[in-house]
Amino acid sequence: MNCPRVLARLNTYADGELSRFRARGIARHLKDCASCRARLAELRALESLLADVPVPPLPEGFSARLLAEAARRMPERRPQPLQWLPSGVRTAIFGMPVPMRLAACGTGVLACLVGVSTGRIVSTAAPEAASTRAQALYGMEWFGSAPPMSLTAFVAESSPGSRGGLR
Amino acid sequence: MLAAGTGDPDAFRELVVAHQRGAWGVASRFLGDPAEAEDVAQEAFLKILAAAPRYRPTAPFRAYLYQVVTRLCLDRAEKKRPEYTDALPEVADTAPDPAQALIGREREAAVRNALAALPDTQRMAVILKHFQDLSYAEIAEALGVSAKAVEGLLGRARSALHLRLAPLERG
Repeated sequence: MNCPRVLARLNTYADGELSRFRARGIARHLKDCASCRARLAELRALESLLADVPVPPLPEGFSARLLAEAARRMPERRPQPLQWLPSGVRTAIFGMPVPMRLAACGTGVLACLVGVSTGRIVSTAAPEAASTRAQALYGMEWFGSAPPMSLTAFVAESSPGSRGGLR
Repeated sequence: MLAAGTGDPDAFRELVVAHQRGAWGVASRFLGDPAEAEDVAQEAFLKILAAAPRYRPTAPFRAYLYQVVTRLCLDRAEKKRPEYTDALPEVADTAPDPAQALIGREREAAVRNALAALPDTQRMAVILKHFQDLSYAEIAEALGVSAKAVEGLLGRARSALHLRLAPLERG
């Protein structure tokens, strides 16, 4: 890096606003260049000169006067919607811009619709098919036929209307 | 801030207590006149309170506050140039030696005058950078310009300050 390029970025370097890569390049140049180092020293000196100027003290009663005026102008407290939600969730919801809120609502409604339709498909499927699928998938033996002479087989045989989900 | 927007006085009080020094610091350094600076700092908070129901937290509150204070200061400055040296309230002297204290006061006056001589946007950029420690992006937001423009404003301001204050920088 040459002097003109370094000098052009020296303010940004001194303010710590350069990328790490560029800052390293300038630091390398500064090691070898006394005149650029002198310019940086001037910037630092100006910074400390400005830092020596104290902030004037806050006028007495500043916040009292401000709060009194604010109380006069403050809108009547409005009840917040969705008060039952935790305040963090409420802040997140009402802090969102309107398009984001609409998108979030849309996603929620879509999720509900998918949930309801999936539930309907599962509940209308034949129990036999479900048990066969479960057997095939997981080898769940208790979905298989009851052993002869067992209590389950007796109950199944004695109720002719039964669909015999356990047989 | 969102709570203040619903009319919660405690929430607004918390905001004032946390940020009043920052708002006052910018206004008093920029305008130079304590009465006018208090007007601006108070007006900034009241404007923020009025706009609170429509507030959306897209940036830190501090950046929003400085943006409002900056706009108000620049509007006032358009109407009148500041006079720094005599108007600012005296700051308590901590230097034990009177001669040293005198030198300190002269240095302060010289720096304030040098700042006052800068164009408005340059002066505000220097105040937000050096006294409030804002990043280029935050200063850009407050001034309504790009970060690149802030770099230029600070560069020109520092060159001008250096020309006026070089003897003090050495001593």
